[in-house]
Amino acid sequence: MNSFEKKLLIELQNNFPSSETPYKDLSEKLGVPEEQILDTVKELKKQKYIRRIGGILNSKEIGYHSELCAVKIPAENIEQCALIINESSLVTHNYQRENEFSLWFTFCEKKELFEDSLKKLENKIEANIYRLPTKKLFKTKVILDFKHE
Amino acid sequence: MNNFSNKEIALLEFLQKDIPICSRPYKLLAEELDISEVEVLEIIESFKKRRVIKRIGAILYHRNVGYTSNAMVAWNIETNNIDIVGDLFSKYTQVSHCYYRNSFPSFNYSIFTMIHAMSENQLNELINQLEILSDCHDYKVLKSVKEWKKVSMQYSFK
Repeated sequence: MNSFEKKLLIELQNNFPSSETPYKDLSEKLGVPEEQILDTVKELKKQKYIRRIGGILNSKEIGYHSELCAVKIPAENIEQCALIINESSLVTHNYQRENEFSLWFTFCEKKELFEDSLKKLENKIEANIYRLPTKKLFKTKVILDFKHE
Repeated sequence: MNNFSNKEIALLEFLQKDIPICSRPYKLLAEELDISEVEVLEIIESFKKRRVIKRIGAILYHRNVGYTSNAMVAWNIETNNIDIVGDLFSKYTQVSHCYYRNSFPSFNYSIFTMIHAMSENQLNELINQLEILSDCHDYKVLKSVKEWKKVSMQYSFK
C-alpha cells in the first residue's frame, strides 16, 4: 500500500463522515478528487484490505449479550471442533491459540436466549465450554494506524 | 435497552451490512427505505447519541494490511490495581481490546488484552513494555495460530 492508501484507511476507520456526501468530505480533507477516493476504496475492498464499511453496533444496547469462551480440545480434534463452532451464526470470532485451551471464540446472542443457546453448542461439540464474562470493559476499538512499521 | 421503530430496524439492518461505496450512499439507503436522506442521517445521529452504534467506519482485514502478529495476553493483576492497569493498557493503539474478566479456576487471569503488531519482534517488545508498565510478571501470551472465523455479527431485530 502507498502512503495515500494508508492515510485513507486511517480516515475510513476513524472519521467516516455521516453527511450526504461522505466521500466528497474525505476528498476535501485529503486534498484528492472524490473520484480517486471512490476508486481507491473500491480497489481496497476488492483486494481484501477492507472487510466492510458500515455501522459498528453496540450489542448491549440492542438486547444482546456476548461472552468470550474457551474450550480445551486436543490437537487431533481441533479442526473438527472448530468447524462445528464456526457453523453457529452466533459465533463471530474463532481463534486457535497456543495453549491447552486451544480454541477461543466469542458467542453473542439475545440476552434471554443466551444460556440455552450456549448449552446447545456445548452439547454439539461434546466438550466443556469455559466462560469468561466481562466484569469491566476498558476498551474495544480496533484502529490499525500503520505507525509502527 | 432501546426499543426501535420499524424504520429504525430497517436502517439498522442496512448499517450492519455494507454501506454502498458511492457518492451518495445514504441517498441510496433512503430510497430503499422510502424515507428522505435527511431522515436517514437524523436517525443515524440519534443512534450514535443513544450508543446504539459506536461509529460508522471501515473494518479491515488486519492480517492483509500487515498486522500479522497478533496475540491475546492474559494478565494476573491484583484486584486493587485493575482499574489503573486497565486504563494504562488501553492507552496503546496496538491494544485493541482490554477487558477485566471473570475467569475460571485453572486460568487465573483478570485482564485480557488483544494486541496487534506488524512483526513478532514488535509484538514481543510491546508485551515487554506492558509488563514493565504494570509490574505484572504473571501473564500468559496466547498467540493466534489460526483464524478459523472472523465475521461481523448479524443481529436480528425481530
